[in-house]
Amino acid sequence: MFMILASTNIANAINNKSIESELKKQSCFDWARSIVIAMDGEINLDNVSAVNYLTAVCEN
Amino acid sequence: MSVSYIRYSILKVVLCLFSLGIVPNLYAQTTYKVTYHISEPKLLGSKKDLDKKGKQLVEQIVDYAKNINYILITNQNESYFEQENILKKESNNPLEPVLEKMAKRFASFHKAVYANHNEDSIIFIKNLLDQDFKVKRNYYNFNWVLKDDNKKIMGFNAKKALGSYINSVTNKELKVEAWFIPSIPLQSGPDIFMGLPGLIAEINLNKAVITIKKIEKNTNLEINKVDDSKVMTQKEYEVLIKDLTKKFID
Repeated sequence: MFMILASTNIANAINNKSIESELKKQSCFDWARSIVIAMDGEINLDNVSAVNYLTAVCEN
Repeated sequence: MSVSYIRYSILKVVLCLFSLGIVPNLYAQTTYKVTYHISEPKLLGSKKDLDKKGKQLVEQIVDYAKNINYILITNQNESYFEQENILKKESNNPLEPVLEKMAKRFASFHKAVYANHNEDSIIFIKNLLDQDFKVKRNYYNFNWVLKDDNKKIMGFNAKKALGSYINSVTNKELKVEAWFIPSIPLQSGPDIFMGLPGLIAEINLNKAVITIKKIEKNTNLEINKVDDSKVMTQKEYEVLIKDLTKKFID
């Protein structure tokens, strides 16, 4: 019983952590995108790497 | 021998040199190092939807953009243009690399542009998705229309020209206003912008105004050549852009 409870808690913890990091990733992506749109007015092939770069900066 | 006769003789020699094309050749031999900077960054979007941190960052990027210089080395036969490569002092600002990368977006210039003015051809290096692509093509056709407007730029009399071109990456027609210096008869300018009867001193693009900051005359300067052995054609480049746009944007 203890084993089952422990493994469920670990699984929840892992899931929560991954949900949390996914949310952070998503909000960082949205934030980065909004900055590039403020500068360039749109997302295009020329600035998509700037979105990825700012997302990575925000995540770290 | 009278003074007026000597003056007349000098004038005759000068006119003779001009008619033989010797004086214009002096320009061909003279190499110029031209420094440009982003004099006016422009935002195409709005800051109103940004959070406080985002607004602050955009303001910092706009300020930082005014420190970015570009160098053109040119004579009548060829030119090479790229962002100024300076040894940076240790900065305490951890945001410095972010500001630099983002500030360059205002000009959105190619990584480097080599122009052969005898062939009317250019080779540019474009960084897309963190990868460099090298393309050889003819000059861009700007359909320049010369205007009567004049203004002084760095003490030089500059004349206005209006043009437009198709941006290969966004496939949009963009208008450009250029100010060129007829007294420096070089058809060069920043990035892909060239082909006017005088060095381009300023260009007004949709995201920035780029203006000349310094002109140095030096016959010993070497103009970098770009290796043209592994270049794409403009057609190949356009196909690549279509594919990448489909994959990453649409």
